[in-house]
Amino acid sequence: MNEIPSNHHASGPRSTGSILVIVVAIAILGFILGLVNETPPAMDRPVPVAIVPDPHDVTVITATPYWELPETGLGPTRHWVQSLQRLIRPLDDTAGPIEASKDSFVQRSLRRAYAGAPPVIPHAVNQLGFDSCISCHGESVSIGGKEARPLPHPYLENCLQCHGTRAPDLLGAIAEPANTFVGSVSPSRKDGTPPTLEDEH
Amino acid sequence: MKLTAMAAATNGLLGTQASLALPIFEDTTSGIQWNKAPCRFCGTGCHVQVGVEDGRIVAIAGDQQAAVNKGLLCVKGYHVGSILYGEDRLTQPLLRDGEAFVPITWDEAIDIVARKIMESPDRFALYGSGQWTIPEGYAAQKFMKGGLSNNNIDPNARLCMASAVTGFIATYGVDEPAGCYEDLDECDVLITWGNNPAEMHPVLFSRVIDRRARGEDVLLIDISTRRTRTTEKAQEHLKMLPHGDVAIALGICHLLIKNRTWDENFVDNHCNFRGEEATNPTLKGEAITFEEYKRRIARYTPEYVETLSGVPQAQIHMLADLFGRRDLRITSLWCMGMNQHTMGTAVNSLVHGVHLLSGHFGKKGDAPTSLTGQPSACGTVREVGTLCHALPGGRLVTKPEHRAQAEKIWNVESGRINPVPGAHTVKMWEQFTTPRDQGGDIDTIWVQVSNPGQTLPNLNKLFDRKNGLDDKFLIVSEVYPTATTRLADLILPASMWVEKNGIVGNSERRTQQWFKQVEPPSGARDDCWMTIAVAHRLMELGHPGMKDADDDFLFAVADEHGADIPIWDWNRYYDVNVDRSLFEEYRAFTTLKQKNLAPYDIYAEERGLRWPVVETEPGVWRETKYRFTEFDDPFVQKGSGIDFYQSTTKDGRAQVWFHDYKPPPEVPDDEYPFWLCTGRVLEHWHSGTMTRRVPQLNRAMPTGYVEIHPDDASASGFHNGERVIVESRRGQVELPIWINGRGRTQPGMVFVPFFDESKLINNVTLEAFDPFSKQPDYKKCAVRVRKLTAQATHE
Repeated sequence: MNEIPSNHHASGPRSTGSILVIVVAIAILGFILGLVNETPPAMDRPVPVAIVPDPHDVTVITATPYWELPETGLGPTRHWVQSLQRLIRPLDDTAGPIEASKDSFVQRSLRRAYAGAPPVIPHAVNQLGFDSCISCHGESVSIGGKEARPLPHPYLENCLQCHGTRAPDLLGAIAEPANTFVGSVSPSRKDGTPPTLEDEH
Repeated sequence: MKLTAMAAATNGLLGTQASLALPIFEDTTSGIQWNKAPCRFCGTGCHVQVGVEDGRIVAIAGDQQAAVNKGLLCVKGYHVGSILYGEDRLTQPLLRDGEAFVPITWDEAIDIVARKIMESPDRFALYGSGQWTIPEGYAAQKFMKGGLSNNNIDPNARLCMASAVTGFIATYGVDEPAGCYEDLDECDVLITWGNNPAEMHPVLFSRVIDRRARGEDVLLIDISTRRTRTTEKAQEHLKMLPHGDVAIALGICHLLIKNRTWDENFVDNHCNFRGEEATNPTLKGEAITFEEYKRRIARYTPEYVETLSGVPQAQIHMLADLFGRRDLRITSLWCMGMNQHTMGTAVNSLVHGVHLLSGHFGKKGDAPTSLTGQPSACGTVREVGTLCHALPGGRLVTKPEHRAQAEKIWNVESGRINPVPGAHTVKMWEQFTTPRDQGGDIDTIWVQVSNPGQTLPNLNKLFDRKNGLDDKFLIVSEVYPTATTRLADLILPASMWVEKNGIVGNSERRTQQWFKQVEPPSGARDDCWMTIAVAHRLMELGHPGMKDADDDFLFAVADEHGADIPIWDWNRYYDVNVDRSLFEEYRAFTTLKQKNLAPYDIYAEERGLRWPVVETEPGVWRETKYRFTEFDDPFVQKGSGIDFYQSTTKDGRAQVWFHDYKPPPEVPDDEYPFWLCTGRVLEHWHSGTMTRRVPQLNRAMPTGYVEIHPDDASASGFHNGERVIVESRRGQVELPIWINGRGRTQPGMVFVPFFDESKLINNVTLEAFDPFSKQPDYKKCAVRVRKLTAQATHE
């Protein structure tokens, strides 16, 4: 089975097969849709929900210009709150629970020279295309039980400036330098984020 | 400085004003004391807040009050605290005994140095640094030129920015950029000329690209021989052949003339034209008419420039069209690419010329700006003048009136200063490594705050030949064992960074002060103290130069009652602030060429101030952001618009230079088919002696490597990670290949960073230098790459 003709001249059996597949697919889809209409889904993943704008709401939101963003105390709009409430929350992790264990705290401190230091990156990165950080760390993403935390400072896009990478294995074994620096464990910066590069206006 | 934390309840995510909390000087939740200091590393001059607990640094934070970095740092800066704590800190003076070193006391060590100098004061040289603090450099300068009447003092900055100096002097008659970092906030177009600020000046680079995150348009154009992280953020990349920058600058000027898009008003009012003298060319050059300039530049058509630079004509037109527009603000940035260049002075002058000819000068965002690599290349080397031909304040040893000024300020008899320039860096090391009986006329070198055993070009010739020369004596002040200490005869353990007081000067003329915050490891002492202690010992041994005209010690410091404080005694060195005392003396020089500095105590309160700093009313000191401009420079008359008041032609005009393209001294051939370019990486600062001892930085960049184009690797059968030999006519080094890693070279070129002392690429480089600046070219020579197993094809 699953024979795929080597060229399109053998059209007779292929057309028949294709039609059969489509018919079966439509039947299955119809069956599922029928189920959905009658009973709530017993599925472990979120179901898309259409967000329908409220036709009675005629409020127009004024966009904030980019140059005013740093000085603007932005907060959630009414629309934003409503949309969020309508969404069905996805499960926290589709690949397994995230352990908030002692180990993860040890891991956390191992990646920082002192409390408040920018953590080093514990995985290989594209050395040149540092925009790629955003693809996982723009929003929170969970992969294989590990969580890629969202950037606390999305306005600072030059990620590799502050966060040390890990050299690729091909460069050979790393000789650890002996260093007796002991970093502070108490937070030295309360907000936990690096500062902004603001204009001095 | 009793501000306390105001960081609570802030929202960092949106970057609101609330998140710009004041720096935490006093952390109420722990015993950490916070204080300011400029970062130890590059020439950007970021300020950090140093967190100290129980006498040790325990944390670092970006200083939010600092205008340079506004709280941001790079990965080196965040880890700068760790550089003090490498386990192999040097803590006792060590004297060579055959292959071994034996510990000696400090008294013995100072005595040995003084007696070595006393043996033959003229055959002694001091090799310093752009990492010298201003007081350290000033003391060394006064000791050599004012004390020993010996001009053999030169810094590693000779290898770093000497061509930038000659470019500024040839063009404006005075050194250092006219603009400042605010140009990066204002420019519409930023051009990086052979410069990779994304790795080398990351905070400045972010200052530009973060403007995009705020919705601003900035056109970034990268001109380079290889793709770097800077290229990745650029909208336009001009991939040039090595040495192509000279042709590109000439091509832009050609098109400005041809298209009649030069700024007639600016040129008529503010510029002269200049060309090289036919024989013995100098930085003054000879006057040429605008018509003659046009005649000479006519040859550099886009077609011809394409053949010289490899850059397509369309991109030359694109650049010329941008410079031809008056509605744009254009800033150029450069660093080692244009400075480490056998045409370094020429290409620096030509890029200034592009800006002058097009009038992209003297307005916010319109600036030709050269960056420095060391924290005080500007402050100590260029301003204090710790070069073999210079005196503080832009004075020259060859000029009688300049010597007289220095002799007056130093209170030494007339004729004390030697009128003949000393040995510049390459010559100094050539003379040192040449046996005495073969004409090598330098016997002893004292190295402070530098690592020439790794950073000199052609190390086999300029450094390693010292090995086995019994009549040569190398003294090295250092904090760690280095590639230089391996050949040292005497090692003096030094304190570093916030283990001592300091003042430095960054790339934008900003003078920055800090106070000592922790004790150095027991046994290590300040470089400035070493200089003063040796001077005092020389005086005891009877050297007449160590006394001034009043028979007082050259470095005498009195307390408020007029009693001498014996600062040559280490236990008494911190009885007084020696930095403050030396700085106040040095300030007398700074007004001689309008590089005025404020009193020491003003800097103690500031995150640096940009010179000229003038007192506008009693006690009020004003810095200068934009020089030569009526709207900001206090030395420009109101109504004159722009005034180049240090002009070499004494008519208030800058010089637009013409230089012909000259090919590099060594080009690839059949035997050595690749160009070699050397350079730096984000994580390591220069020769890596500090950063390679920081685990977080070392893990990110654990080894030197060779970057090669995939096609070249494939043609030679190299695979990624394979260890190969890179060799030139001068030497070789073994390196792992890293393809498509940190950067991407063009076919026919390899790149190797120089930070790794276990893989010395400077065994391979060429010592050919620029005729004016004497700065070597580390960016181009001919090499071959071969497999470890293959034998050299040529013996």
